[in-house]
Amino acid sequence: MARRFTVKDFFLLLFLSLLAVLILLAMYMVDRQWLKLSEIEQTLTEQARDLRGLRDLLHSPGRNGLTLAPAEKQDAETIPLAFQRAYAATQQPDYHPGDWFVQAFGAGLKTLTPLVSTDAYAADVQGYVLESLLTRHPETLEWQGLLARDWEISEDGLTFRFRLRKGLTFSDGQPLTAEDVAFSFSFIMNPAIAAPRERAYYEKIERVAALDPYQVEFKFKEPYFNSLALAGGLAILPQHFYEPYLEQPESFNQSKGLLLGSGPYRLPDPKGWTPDQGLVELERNPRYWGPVQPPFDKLLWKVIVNDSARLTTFRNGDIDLYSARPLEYQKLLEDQALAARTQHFEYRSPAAGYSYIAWNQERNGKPTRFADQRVRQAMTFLTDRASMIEQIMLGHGEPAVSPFNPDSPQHDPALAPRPFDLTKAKSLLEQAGYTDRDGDGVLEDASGQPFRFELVFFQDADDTRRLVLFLKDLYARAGILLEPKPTEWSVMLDRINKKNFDAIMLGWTSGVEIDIYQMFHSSQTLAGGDNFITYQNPELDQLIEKARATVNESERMPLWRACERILYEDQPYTFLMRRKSLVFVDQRVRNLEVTPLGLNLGMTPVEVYVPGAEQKYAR
Amino acid sequence: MSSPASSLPPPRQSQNYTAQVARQVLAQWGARLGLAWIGLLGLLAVFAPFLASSHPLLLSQDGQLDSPLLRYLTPADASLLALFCAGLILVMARASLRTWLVGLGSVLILAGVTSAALIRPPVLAIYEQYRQQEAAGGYDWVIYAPIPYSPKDYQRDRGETGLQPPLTSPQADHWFGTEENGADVLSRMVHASRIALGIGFVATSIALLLGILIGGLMGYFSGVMDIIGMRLVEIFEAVPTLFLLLTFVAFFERSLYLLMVIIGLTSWSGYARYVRAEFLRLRQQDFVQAALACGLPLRSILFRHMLPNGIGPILVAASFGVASAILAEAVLSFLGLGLVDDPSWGQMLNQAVKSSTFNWWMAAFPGGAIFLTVFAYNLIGEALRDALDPYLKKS
Repeated sequence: MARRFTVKDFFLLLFLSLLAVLILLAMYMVDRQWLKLSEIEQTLTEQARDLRGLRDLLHSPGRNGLTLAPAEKQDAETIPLAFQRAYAATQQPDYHPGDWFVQAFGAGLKTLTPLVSTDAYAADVQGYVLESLLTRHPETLEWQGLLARDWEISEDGLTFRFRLRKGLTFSDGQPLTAEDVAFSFSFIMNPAIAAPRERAYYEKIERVAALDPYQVEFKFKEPYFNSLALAGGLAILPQHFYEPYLEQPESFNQSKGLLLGSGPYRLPDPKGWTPDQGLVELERNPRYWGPVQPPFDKLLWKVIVNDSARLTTFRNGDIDLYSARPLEYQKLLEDQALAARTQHFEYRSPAAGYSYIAWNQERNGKPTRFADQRVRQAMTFLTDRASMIEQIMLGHGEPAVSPFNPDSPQHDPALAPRPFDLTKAKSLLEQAGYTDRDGDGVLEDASGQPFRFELVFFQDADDTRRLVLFLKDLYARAGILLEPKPTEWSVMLDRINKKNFDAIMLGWTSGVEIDIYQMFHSSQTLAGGDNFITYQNPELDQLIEKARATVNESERMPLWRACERILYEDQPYTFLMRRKSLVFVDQRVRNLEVTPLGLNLGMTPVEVYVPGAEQKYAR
Repeated sequence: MSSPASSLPPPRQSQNYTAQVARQVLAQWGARLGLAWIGLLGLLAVFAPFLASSHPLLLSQDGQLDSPLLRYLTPADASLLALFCAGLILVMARASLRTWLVGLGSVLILAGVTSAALIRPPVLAIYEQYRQQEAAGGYDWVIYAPIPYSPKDYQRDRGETGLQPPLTSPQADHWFGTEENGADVLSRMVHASRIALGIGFVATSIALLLGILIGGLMGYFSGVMDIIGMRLVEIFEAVPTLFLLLTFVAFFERSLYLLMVIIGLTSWSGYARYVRAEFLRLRQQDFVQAALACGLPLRSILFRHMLPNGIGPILVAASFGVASAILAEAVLSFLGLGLVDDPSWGQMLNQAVKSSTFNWWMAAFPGGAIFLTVFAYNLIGEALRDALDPYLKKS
């Protein structure tokens, strides 16, 4: 017998479902209370630990660890060298801690986890959270101790012994000891951790041992010119935080935001960041060990992919920094409204590196056209770098000669960039067997194949696309057909790995003194190596090995210069240019300065601040 | 008031149905305007190389006549010209629809094959050579096209930095301004009309062909065939065309033909639904039953007897389909994922907000062209619907 659905049934159903919803909500509420409670408990334990540490420090006899003096009386001499500049900033009359610094990323971040992340954006964020033993002075470029108080180098240059400062802590309150330094090394060298790039470098180190809580020793396998930078630049990871992941390396390798360190800023939740938040937020590390506390309450990075949207956001004052394209720069300079509330900087940072076209010398096991040195030289002669910089970059760049920074002693000033020379290029190509055999204006090789090649480049960079079209016109004048091949980033990486391209336009970031082993040494032609053009030159190999193993700078530099001369002659890459950074920063940010390392904005210890009267995000 | 008999249309059998529809469509102002715009675009597309080119039309060098423009004509240019001439002849001859289809089809194939085989334009074009020669006094006289710039002539020799508003160049001869690389916008727009028309027609033709075939079979056989076909239709309806295009462009090369084929392959499902519904209705009707009883072959029943009676609504849908194909290409180019340096309206529109300012001429002209073209197709589509569907006819 079928029952009809009556009004009474309806109300019964309504009541029952209401009850279910209420029970669900209650469960949810209780759950939230628990979460909140555990959060409070966590904070309480950390604070209790802090207090205990403070009490120990106060009661410890015979140790002048803590002086209860007001900060103003702090003597500049007790401030470690690395903090001198930041300390000087705090002594400015208008200095006032507080406010936020808001920046924008031009692409979505994939992960913030150290070692796993590969892009420069993640490195920016990590720079505020992780610290290393040493840091370079931005003016003199000398190394100075950050986490390390001092260090000594053995006679043979193979053993480095660092003594750590006292009272170092990570941002969760745990102390930082030599054990953590040793752990950081062994963590990178663990093959289960996806850090092949770092491992390639740190393979030079035989072992890292903690002698006592405040002393750590790095032992190198062989002499290496950059060993101090290698050891001193190791980002120190907290053992208690990262060690559990050795049990389940996959969850570390796939993680999105496992970031905890001893730096001046920290992630509010060191395990919980995910890319879908669309922004990165760092808060001031309340337990920062350094003698100078960071000025900003918060650092914020918003992800704004679209160029013009980013500019609009900057115009509206919602972000504090904007890197302009050359084409925009002039127009932005003339913009009165913008000029009134921003300051602009134009500088060439050594870290920005250089751009180049890499000529693949072997494809599918067969040598390509570019295996011929004369062809590569001709291509360089055809690449009119002067007018390229003039027309595309509007003068905001300089031609690159070699991988070495022109301001570095690695560079030989006698070498000048090859000028644009059509006739020389044509005669070189003719020597290499390329002439116009059928009268159509295009060069052909001996077998009658026209000289055409594909140039792979990143599709989303406007200036790069304009550059490629410019080169296409230039090469056409010599009878060479360039086919532009705009490519998505992941596809590009895949092509590089498989060495499946004719020529590719890319850039390397670099530094003050750089190692060219990874891109030009024959041994790096292996799959996955950075010598993806199969460039081999035994003479250069020897020179690179010798230079890397020479610790003495005055002996090493001539070797680097000899390397440079070979690269200049061989032109495995056509080095294009070193771009200038064209940066606009909000007016309220003070103490900005261009140093030999670039703008002092992204540096730690942080030395820029916002005067109290101009703080925007004050609460 | 005249007698009612005189206002009646002439007897039906004396009039071709196609011509009748055409007259009804043309009676509407919207359709006329739409057709006029498409016609204008067609003319621009066919004569693009003669309208906008850096290669001189005719020049005299040391007493010798030369026409670089003709030397640089591509097989595509030649085929388009041949098609245009054939169309002109067919119009003069007042040909029937069948003759039109057969005539144009054969000319297309013939001209395509012969021009591809015979015409070998130089692959290298150095545009500044003419300007340099002329400045050096190398020519006795020289005649340029009305717009003396090719779409890919970036005028590096003139030292222009690009993105200049109309008529501000020192020579003040870029009527629509220049784009970011310094090429003339008007020239690029003229050449881009080819891409716009081409992608609309080719993609829609592919989709129509597939849709009619699958939809016809589904509707005629129904039963299992219909069930399988409808699932296929549902699968293809679920494919987001734009994302598919984005993926293809990212992993394969950026080719116009690839775009046409993908847009065509993913948009047939709507047509298939229309044809299926029409055929389901038609196959119960007496004339089809009669044809069946006569023992006519399936091909004849499907395409000679049923299709002409069911094609009306599909044509309407197709005219909207052309518009959406053009939009799809424009969207892709606007996102910066279209062709590299071949001109396209969407790609030009993309530059409207480049380099920190609003470049109004990059928004107004290409955007206007896209708007007008899509609008024109929609007007034609509506007029067609009014003419074909007696229930919707305006009173």
